Amino acid sequence: MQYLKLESIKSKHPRLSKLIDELAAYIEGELDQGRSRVVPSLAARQLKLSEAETLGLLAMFEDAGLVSARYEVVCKKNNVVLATAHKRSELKDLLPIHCEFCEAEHEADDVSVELVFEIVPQAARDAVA
Amino acid sequence: MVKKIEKLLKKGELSEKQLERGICNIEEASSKRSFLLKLPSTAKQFESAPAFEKHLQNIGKSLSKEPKVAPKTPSKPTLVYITCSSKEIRAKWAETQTRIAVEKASLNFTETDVTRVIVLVMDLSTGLIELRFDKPEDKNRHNDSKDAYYAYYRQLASELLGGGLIQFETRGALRSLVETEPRVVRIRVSSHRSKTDKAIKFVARTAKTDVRDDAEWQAAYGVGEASRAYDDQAVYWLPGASHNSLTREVFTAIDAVNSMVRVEADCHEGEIQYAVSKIREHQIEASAPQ
Repeated sequence: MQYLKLESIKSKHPRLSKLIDELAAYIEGELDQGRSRVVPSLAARQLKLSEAETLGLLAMFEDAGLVSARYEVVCKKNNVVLATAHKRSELKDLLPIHCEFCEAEHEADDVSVELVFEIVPQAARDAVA
Repeated sequence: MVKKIEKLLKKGELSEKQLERGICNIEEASSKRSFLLKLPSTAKQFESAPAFEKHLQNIGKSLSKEPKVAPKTPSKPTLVYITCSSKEIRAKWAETQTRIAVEKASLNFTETDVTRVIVLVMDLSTGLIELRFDKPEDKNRHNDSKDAYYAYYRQLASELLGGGLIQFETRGALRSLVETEPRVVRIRVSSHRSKTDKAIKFVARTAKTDVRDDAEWQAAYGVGEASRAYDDQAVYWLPGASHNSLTREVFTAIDAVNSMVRVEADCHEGEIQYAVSKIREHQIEASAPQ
């Protein structure tokens, strides 16, 4: 059924079929390595695409239920993820946020927000099976 | 929480003594930065409680029967108690400092007096001394200087223990904690200085991951393993490697330049003792002749 989801994306965007397969293979590789999220800038580098193109492909995968967008709150000083929100609207509720590395309560100026995509493991596995 | 405690007290399921011990435990371990020290080998070592008690009498101080809770915002630095058991010498001081909160939009400065607790723990079996401090605030009676705040209590601790305190080295422990397999800690942020004095930092950005699993970290380690130097390292102690001493991962930031260990607010006495004892063990192991 999940394989059908992948086929469904391809049928809607036949010209992107090759890129869709490549992204699916990349996601499978990430899962094999024990990683559960796709960082658009890293995926773009692997797929030799621009970050905007990769985001577009990931949005299609999200629509098909293969990945799910997450917003990570990152300490600007130490670059560690401090919290993850499922919706943008949840971000303001996370502040101020404690950072054990800085021993500080960070406000909006001290953090950045990064969009990543959590892999829905079984759906993604089935899609490339 | 307060209501729950009140209920337990009323029911007699929690005694006032137990509550006081619990508060002591929190104020003596929570959010502390602990300097690791020792007495020089030439200093007089106290072999028994009576010997220490006699020394205290000579300097005009006396032992308390048991630990006490620190007074709230005392008007001057206050010695709260000194205890001595077969295991350790322990003392506590409290003083008041002023926290300044800034509200940028209205340019408002709000000053709040807060109690700062300082704890001395000397392990009589190992000689290791911990001098634990609450975080210094912006305004304090030590010319608003955090170094002077640390130095003031280091001097008091020296007088109490009858000898100048020297730093307990921790650089070897940092290297050992990074290298020990099977792992005893999880490392999320790893920084070191290379042979040619380049500062190198690896960060496992997501929670519950270890930077040492990264192929690039491993490659860098392969190249510079023997020549790299560690200045500081934050670790999470792994409960699985603790022989049941820990029930959760415990965060500790270790500063090898100052031999200072920092723990989080939710840390309790057993956890800080575990962290310090492991650092000591790794340091001794690392400095033993090969």
